[in-house]
Formats: sequence, structure tokens, C-alpha cells
Amino acid sequence: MGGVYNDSDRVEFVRDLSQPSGPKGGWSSEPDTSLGIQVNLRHSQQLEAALQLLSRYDYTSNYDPRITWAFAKYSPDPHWQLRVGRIGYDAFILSDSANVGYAFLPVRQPIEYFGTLALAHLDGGDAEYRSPVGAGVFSVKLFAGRADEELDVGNNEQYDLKDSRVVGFNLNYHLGAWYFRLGGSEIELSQELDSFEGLLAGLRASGSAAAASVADDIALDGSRVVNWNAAVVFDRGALQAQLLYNKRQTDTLAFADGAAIYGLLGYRMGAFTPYMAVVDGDAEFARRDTGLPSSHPLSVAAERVFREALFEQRTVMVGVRYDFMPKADLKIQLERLEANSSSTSFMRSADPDWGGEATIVSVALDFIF
Amino acid sequence: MRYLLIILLLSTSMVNASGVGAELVVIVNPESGVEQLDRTDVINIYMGRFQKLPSGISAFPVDVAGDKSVFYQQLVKKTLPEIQSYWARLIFSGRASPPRQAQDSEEVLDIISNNKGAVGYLDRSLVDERVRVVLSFPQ
Repeated sequence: MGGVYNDSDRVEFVRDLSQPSGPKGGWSSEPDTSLGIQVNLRHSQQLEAALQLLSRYDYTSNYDPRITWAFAKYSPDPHWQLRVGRIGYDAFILSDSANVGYAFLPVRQPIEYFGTLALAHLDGGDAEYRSPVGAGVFSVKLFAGRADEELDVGNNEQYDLKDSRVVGFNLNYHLGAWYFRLGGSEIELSQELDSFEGLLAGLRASGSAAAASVADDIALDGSRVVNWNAAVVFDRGALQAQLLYNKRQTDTLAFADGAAIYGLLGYRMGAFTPYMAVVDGDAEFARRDTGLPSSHPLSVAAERVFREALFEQRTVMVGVRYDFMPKADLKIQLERLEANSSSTSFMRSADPDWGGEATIVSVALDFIF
Repeated sequence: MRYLLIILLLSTSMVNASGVGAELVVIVNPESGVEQLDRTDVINIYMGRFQKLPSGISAFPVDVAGDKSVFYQQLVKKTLPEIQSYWARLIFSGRASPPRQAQDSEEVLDIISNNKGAVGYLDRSLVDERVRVVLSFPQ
């Protein structure tokens, strides 16, 4: 449960790309308020099942509950764990419980790091093997499945990720207070964005070979997005620190290659844990010539796609988490964000004269039952 | 037996009065095949990292209501809210199940004596022949 204040009246703030709108020059409880229910059924130490329902503000523009998990878990011994069904998306560290505020120090997982492919779940399965190695514990996980959700791409349009094929792995090593992780995943998109259809058809029918090839470069259907990520976490006593790095390679110019880095530092003092974080998402601007005059409507439209492919934004935040009673906390967070002024992809409904800056104040109350 | 209990209670309260606190020890089932655990083993089991005893049996940890906060302070220097937040992360990522919760020393002794893979903790003075001490925290 949370309230967010955005001081800018020229742009809307959202928690992640599944949300179509958010606060602009005022307060809103929409971004950070969610309710989840999780049921775990334990048949034996080997066999378990879990169901999770989540209600939050997302692409449905309301709080319709979604089934975020429904899986059976089989663990024949402490080394192996197999899951089948609808599982959390574990491509980035901590991404599979991104909606559980109580589990983290900051109010929310920053959009610049976690936002670019905000899958919540996969329909498929995963297999994990873990074993002590040296003084620590090593584990490897493979996952595969299909997506079934939508992203809001602005202008009241949703991009459907349904049936997009996802595969990935991660390697983990826990050593005392240290945790190291390397991961990779690939998403193969299997739908076209509705508003691209006309542009793609126009480019292909224009008679220019260059324009036809631009259409292939822009098309989302059939394109792949590969994410590589590395993380180091240190967590001992009152101190917790984490450094996360992600590199994204795509083969569509409608979603630029990029990299993101996220550093977080927190130090507990009694029931209060002050923290600070820096998140920086960068993209590589790439464009192609259509071979048509630059004033041609198709060239103008293609140019707009290249610009909107940019996800560049940096946020600096400070906050404090107060654990005032068991299983509940209160957080206050102040963020200053700066977007590349031509890149408004992490925000919604940006005015053309938005300078790319906003100050965000968040207050959140988290409960677990 | 009654005298022994009274003496034990007295000594416990004396230890507490001296400000040192109770001495917690980690206990297992005598038939677990385990003579000793090191700190890393106990961290792996209690933090859900790797839940297997060195003898090959699957391990499951048991928390004890009254001793919990001292135990985690000694094991990983973490407060209970931090431990709860840590488990929220694991539970809500579907990765592992948190320790079973026992209300008191009698319940933990009961669980451990009935389960070969159970691991618990207790004040040393309350340990009896149903369980085996495998690790103690230096005072």
C-alpha cells in the first residue's frame, strides 16, 4: 500500500511498464498499491503446490486479480528442485518477487533496471540443482516457458507478450555474507504491435529496398531480446549492499540495445534502516535510412520509432525503512530522476516540453500475513 | 528430578542475571548420523540455502519462539524483521519454505526427537537425552 507524489506536471510516473498511467503533479495511490494472496500446499517434503493471485494497477487499467503463480514443485532431494506450471520470472536477481514490498529495502524495484522487460510470470517450468562447493553453496537454474501478459507502450496501446518464448539460466554462489549471480535469458517476441502494422506495410510497399529493410529492422514479431546480468550482494549484520548490472541486446530497432546498473546501500540502526541507491539505464541510439525523403510520412514515422526505442533514465534515491511491528514496515523515499529529454519511455504521457526531470516522493506501508 | 530442575532453573536465571544471556546450542536427532555441525552448515539450513545434513538426510529447521531473536543474532547478526524480510523474498519467489515454528522448548524437543532430519536450538540447560548437541555458540 503506498502513495506516490510526482512534482512534475508535464509527465506521469509509473512503477513499471505494465501501468498505463500514473501521478502527474500530484499524489496517487495507484503505482504502489497491490494485494497478493499466496497459498502453498505441502503434500510431503518432496511435493508442493503453490497458487498466487495478485491484484494491482496494471495494463488492464484496474485492479483485476491475475494468477501470477500456479505450479507444482518436486524436490526429490535437497539438491534438485523441479517446477512445472505458471512460475515467477527469475531472469534478474530478485525479479520473481518484485511486487512484495516487504521483501526489499526501497519502496519498489527501480524501473530503469527491472522495467524494460517486466514479465511477472512464465507458463513453463524450471529445474534447479544446488550443492555445497568450497565453503559456500552453488546453484544453477534453467527455465523455459511462454509469456502471457501485456506491456503498456504509451498512447493507450498495449503490446501483447502472449506466447513469446522465453528461455534462460542463472548461476548462483552464496559464500558467507556474499552472494554472486550471473544470468542470461532470451525472449522471442511473437506478436506485432498494432500501431506498427500500417508503418511496416507502408515501408514494404514503398518500392524502396532500404525502406523494406527498415521494416524488417523495426518489426517486433520474431525479434529477440537477450539479457545478460551479473549481481554481487553483501549482507552482514546491519549492512546490506548490492550491485546489479544488466546488458540487453535486441534485434529490433524498436527496442534499443542498452545497459543498466543499480547500486543500493543500506545500514540498519535499531528499527530504522536508511538507504540510498543509484540506478542508471542507458540505451544505444540506432537509426536507419528509409531511402525516402526525410519529410516523407514513412520516414517521419520510422524516426519516431527509433526515438521511442530509447530507454535512458537515471534515478538517485534516499529513503528510510521503519520496521515498526512484526511483518509490517513503513517506508519514506525521495527520488530525483533525470531522463534523456528525447527518451520518455519509462514515463507516461510526457509533454513535448518536459525537460526530463522529476522529483518523486513515496510513502509505503507493507504488510505480509 | 525436581531438585535437578530447580537447580537448572536457578543456574539459568543466574546466567541471565549476570547479563551474559542464555547459551543456545544447536540440537539434532540422535539417529540423524550427525555428531557435529559447523556454523556454515547451520546457516545453510536455517537460511534455506542448502538443507541437507552431512550424513545425507534432508534437513528441516525448527525455530523456537522465545529464543529466536537471540539465535539469529548469534548466527548471522540479523534482527527478526530482517530475517522475516529475507524469508518473504524466498517465500514469494517460490524458492524455499521457512523454518517450522515451535512455541517452546518442549515442542522443539518433541519435534526433533520424532524427526531424523529436524534441526533446532535450545538453551543448553534444557537439553535432554532425546536430542544431541551438535554446535554451541561461543559466549
